[in-house]
Amino acid sequence: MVKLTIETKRAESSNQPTRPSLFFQELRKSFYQAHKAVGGTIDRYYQLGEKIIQLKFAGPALIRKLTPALSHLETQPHPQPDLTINLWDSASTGIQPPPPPWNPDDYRQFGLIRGFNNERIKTVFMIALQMIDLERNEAIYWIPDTEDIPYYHSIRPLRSILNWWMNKFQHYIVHSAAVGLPEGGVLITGRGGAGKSTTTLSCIGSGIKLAGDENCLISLNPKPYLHSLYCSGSLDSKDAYHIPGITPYLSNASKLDREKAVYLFTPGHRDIMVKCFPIKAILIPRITGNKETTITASQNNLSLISLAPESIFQLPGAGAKHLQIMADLIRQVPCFSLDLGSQISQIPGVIKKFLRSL
Amino acid sequence: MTISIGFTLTSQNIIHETIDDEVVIVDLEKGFYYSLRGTAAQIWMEIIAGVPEGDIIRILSDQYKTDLAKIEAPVKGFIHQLVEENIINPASPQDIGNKPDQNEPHLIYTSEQGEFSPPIIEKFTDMSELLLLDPIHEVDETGWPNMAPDNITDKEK
Repeated sequence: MVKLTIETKRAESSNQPTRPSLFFQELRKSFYQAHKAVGGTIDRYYQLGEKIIQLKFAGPALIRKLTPALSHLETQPHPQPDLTINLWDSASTGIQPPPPPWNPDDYRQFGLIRGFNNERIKTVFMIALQMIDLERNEAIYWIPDTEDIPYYHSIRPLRSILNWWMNKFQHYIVHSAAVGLPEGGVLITGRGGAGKSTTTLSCIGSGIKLAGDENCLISLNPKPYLHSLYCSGSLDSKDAYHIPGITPYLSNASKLDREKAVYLFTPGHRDIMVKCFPIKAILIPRITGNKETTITASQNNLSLISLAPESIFQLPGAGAKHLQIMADLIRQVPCFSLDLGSQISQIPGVIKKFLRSL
Repeated sequence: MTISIGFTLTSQNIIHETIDDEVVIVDLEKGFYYSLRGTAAQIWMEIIAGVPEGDIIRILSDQYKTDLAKIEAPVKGFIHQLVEENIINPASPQDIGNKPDQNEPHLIYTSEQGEFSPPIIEKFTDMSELLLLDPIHEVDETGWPNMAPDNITDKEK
């Protein structure tokens, strides 16, 4: 069994560069060489809550792989972004990073690198290298070849970096769907197969907007609040056939016999997405086999077991603080059971009526 | 044998939270998580408050007005299960000084009324497969991993 090591105790002084920060500096030099090799950077800006995030691409190769899922958050260029992420791939730029200063047995669970995760620096290698210097508000993303990027990386790009950085501001990514309107919405939590995606995607075109299907960002102060992260996701292809309205947004509609259905709500479909809202309630869906969909009060404890484990086990380094935030959220927000009926088209109307009642 | 000192969590990889009458425990290392409700949640509160096994049995016996003999076996069995799951360990002598004041009441949760019902641990293992496989199998000549996406069994997927 590989032991998970979360090295949060070893504070790193900015005055005494250590192996992690020295390596981060080496990677920055490689990124500089990479964008110099391709004629400069291509910069994109995204607004997440009140924060501006700059993505600096060395050439165009990674843009089509990593930015579509963030497109609903894209904003105007900003002179002082809060976070800068430097991104490059070796195949299109010809620039390799320096050799890793760790050994093969330093790769731990989820690709966390032993000795390179502390209060200031976080490092994971999973498909791509993602490293952040939380003191400098700067991150590195490197992948050998963009062709190595699978769909599930493209539909939730930069998740580790964004989670680590937003944790600085007491914002946490949770594994949950969310729908609502700017004045208020609901988290939809549940284990796989409970009906999260069906519920969420059924709202397309209903007037209820989507904030996310699998990953959302939450904060608690001054009140429970949700921020949309990604405008893309995936679902079992057999489920896609039953959801009215999803077809125009499928990026692999011709391959559903052999792939999960991948959808993308690009800027042209902004009416579908909502960027943020106060969290008014938590819904726990379950498929009942009945015809009608109903919402009834539930015990709050059910929502912690349906929300917390999947959230924690899908984010490298997530632990006690993450669990505490989710528990605090559930203490502050009422929980309801969403008993899903067989008529999917009925679901958004029930949610809309429920939202009005809150 | 009744353990006369309290218990401690086995490691920082064991995290837990309580909502209403349910305790959720997560083992970050193994990928297991647990739900404790009713008397199980109540006993857990006592355990993390540092209350020894014998005192927990007496507290429950008083609360439920039930003979010690009826309480003892299920409580011991429950605690044994927590130890077997490597969630808690008997406290070491140096931990004793950190125990909370034994004169303080520890009955934080008292929603169970009436008869004592044996504590039950509900264990979930569906997340563990994410953790069991080492995602990094080999590195290339530069020292960076070779990662064919099809072989990745990670949190990303």
